[in-house]
Amino acid sequence: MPLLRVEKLRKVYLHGGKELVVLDDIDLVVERGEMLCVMGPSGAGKSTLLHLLGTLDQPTSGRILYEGRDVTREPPARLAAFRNATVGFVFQFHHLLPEFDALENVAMPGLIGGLPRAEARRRARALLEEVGLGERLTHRPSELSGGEQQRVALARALLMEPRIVLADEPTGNLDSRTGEAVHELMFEMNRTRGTTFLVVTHSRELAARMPRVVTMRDGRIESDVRRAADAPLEPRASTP
Amino acid sequence: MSERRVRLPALGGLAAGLVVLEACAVLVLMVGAGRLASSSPGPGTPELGLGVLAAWGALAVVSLGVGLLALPRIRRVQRGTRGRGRLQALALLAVALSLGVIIQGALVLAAVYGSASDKVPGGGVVELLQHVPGPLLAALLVVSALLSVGCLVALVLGAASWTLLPARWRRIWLGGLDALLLTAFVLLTVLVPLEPLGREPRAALWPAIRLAVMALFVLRLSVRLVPKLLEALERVGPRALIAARQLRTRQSGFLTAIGGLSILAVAFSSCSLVTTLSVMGGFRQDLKRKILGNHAHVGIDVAHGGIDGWRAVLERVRADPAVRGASAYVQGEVMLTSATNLGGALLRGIETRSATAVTDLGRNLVHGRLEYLDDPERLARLSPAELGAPASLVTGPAGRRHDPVDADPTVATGLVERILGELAPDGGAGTLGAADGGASTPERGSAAVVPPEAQPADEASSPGGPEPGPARRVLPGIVVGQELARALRLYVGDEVDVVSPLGDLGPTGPVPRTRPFRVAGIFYTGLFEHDVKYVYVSLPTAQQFLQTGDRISGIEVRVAELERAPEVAERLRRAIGRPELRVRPWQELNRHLFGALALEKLAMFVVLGIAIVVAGFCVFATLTLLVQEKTREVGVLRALGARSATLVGIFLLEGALIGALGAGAGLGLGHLVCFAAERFGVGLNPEVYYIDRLPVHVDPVELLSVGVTSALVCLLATLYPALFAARLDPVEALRHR
Repeated sequence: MPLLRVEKLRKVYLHGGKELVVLDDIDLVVERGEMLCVMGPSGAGKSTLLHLLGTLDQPTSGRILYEGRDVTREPPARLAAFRNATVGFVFQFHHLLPEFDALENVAMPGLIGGLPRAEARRRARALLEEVGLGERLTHRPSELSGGEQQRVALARALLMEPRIVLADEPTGNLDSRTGEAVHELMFEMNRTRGTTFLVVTHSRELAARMPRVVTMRDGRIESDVRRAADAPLEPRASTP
Repeated sequence: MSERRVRLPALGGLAAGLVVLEACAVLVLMVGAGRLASSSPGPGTPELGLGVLAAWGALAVVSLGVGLLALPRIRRVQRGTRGRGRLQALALLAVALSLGVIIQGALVLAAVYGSASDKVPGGGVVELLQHVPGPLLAALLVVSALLSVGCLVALVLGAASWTLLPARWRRIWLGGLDALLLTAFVLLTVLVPLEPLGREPRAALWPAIRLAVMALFVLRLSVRLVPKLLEALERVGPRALIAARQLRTRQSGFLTAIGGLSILAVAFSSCSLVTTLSVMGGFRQDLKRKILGNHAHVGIDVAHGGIDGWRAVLERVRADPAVRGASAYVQGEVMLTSATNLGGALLRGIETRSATAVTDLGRNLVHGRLEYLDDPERLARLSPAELGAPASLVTGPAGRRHDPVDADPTVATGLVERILGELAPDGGAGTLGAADGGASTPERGSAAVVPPEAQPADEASSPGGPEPGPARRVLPGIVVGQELARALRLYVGDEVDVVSPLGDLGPTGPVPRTRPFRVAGIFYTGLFEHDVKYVYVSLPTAQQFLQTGDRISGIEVRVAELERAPEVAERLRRAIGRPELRVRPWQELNRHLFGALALEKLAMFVVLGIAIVVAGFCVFATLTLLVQEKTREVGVLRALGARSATLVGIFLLEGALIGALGAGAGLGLGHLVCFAAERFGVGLNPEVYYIDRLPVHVDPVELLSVGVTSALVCLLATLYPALFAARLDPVEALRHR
């Protein structure tokens, strides 16, 4: 059974009395431990797909099955628990809580999920050390650089050891070197922890390194290319 | 920017020093001015004035030094640095103020020692100032005015410079201030009693200072404790963690301002509510004490006519264990006429001995004695010292307190007992024997006017009278209220005619019956109605005068426990077993009065509760803005797996915290106000209010209910913003801004 199966997913917004189809019969299967990126021009429906997969939004029709469990029909309270335990989010603007320091930000999902305070902090400290921020535990987000903020966000997404991390342009706001470091971190987490990553990105560098690239256009999946992890890079992507 | 501010910490310290110095100077100035204004010629005053002047001068010299030291340093700071202008103005002002203080001091000293050096030790400061030549005095006034304006400006400038201080310096200053406050608090707590020692305003000064320091101390303590409390709260759970942290962390300036304002709004509204309720409660308690002191706790009477066979009833009533005392009375409407005036009154014949156990009449006498009612002979030969004390001079309970005998009811009762025993050897006859069996009061039963000078003074039968005065004719005694006595110009020992409208049948129809009495005492209860309306005579006298025979109008009962009076009344009703008798507890006897008071209090609660509701609107606005500002974080929390219930909980908790802080501060403030009013007294005009100081009674239940109401209103005001936050669409929320 795949980790994630999306069947005929459709999302329609009513805008000014007219129907606006944002997602049109999306079918997608993601296996455990897979790493894929979703590309496409703005307005293709990438972010909407991400929100639907993360159960932050409800589809108009279609099903989203996590290990056979249909999350489109569940009540909000159970969905909250599901998000807490199964999904990790990384946003473009990191979205850390400004009142809390790095450690508390990372520990927050644990506290919300009912982990004991000490356990949540222990895990958060370990994760922050793993992402290379062991010296920045008590810094507020405003005292961290953009790359550090995004690494804290990544650590936060991983705290509850989720099956899948949904990242929405995680490096869209960073310069290429810092972004590269964050990409590297995601690959490393995928390797060491086996966490599935679904990354929406505009970055061709990242796409070039991804084993699977899904391209979207106008609410449909245009192409879904897989390749072996050790296969040579595509010539087009390798040229800078 | 940060490099430019490098030199500011040191200057900030100087500025803070100046602020403190100027604040001290202003304080000293105020005290000195107050002293100068209020000082009357008397010993010690000029020394104090000179001491104030010296302290002031020393402060000025130090301030001058600091200002001169600071000025060149400030000039060296780069132009355009934040706060440079402020500091420079502050330093200049400090120099100017110090110079002004020194000049003023010099002027005063020159005036004092120049023109009135020989007068210094004896005269007051005002007297000294009178010797100051005109131009010098004018200069003094101008300098003083400039100084006080300058001090105010300096205070404002100083407060504005506070933000320039680096955090560490601010902490040090605050720490020092707190240490000072703690020391002052401990010292005052140990050394100064909280109760003012005397009644004059001067005695209340130190306790007032202690109270002020205590209040400041508690304020600082709570300001210090609130962050710690929030920190502790953060450990409770994620909801409390987020709520407390959001409150603690500085929001946008506007939100901080209205957050603080809403706390203040809640605080002031609950403070005013507590204060008002306490004052109303004080009035109610005062009234209740006075009414229950002068009237029965349980009254037994009949709707019409009198009670026959009352001795049996009285026995049964007295047999009840909850009954402290019971006394029979006869009552009738009469008119009192003195030489100058006349007034209507309610004549009450009382059993003198048992009456003191039932009402406070014995204690309330400001002149005369209750036992004179049963002892007309002694009344007729009162010593001059006991006579003629003008009732109009007695204005309040102050006079009552100084009466050594009446202060203690047992003493008074004991005296009555002893004298009665001496007068009537057969003892058991009690009041009847004493009043009727007196050999020197013939014709008593006839209720006719005792012919003037017809009764020769009986010298033999007054063994207890201290220094008997010139004997006058023997008349039955009467005790009148102070207001009535004032209206009729009656003093103890005066004669007064009592007229009963139920007259005898004369040849030309009914003639009002008149009989002279002698004033045996004047009482003051503090209830105007009572003091102007009631007059007391002994029971047999009243029975004869009102021609009731052996019947009585009713029985007054005092019970041990006030609040259980209804039960006792019910029990007595069954014990007496006479359905025509009405047995009513005080709650029923005074139902209209206390009902009106309760209604008034409820109305006040509702009206001032509206103030709390308005404060609730403030909380509502604050929370709505807070939710607005935190929209994206709400989205993040949703993404992290927070349920809507958690989000509702977070914002409800924030509202509850604001409410709790406000209510706590308000209750504290209200309690302080009430405490101060209770201890130091807010003077009232006794002519208007019939009470000499504002009565305050703090009811813990009311305090609690006000607190709960405030917290509840705040919680309700938070409900909508919290629900709104929980219903935010997470995707929209994440896109916010």
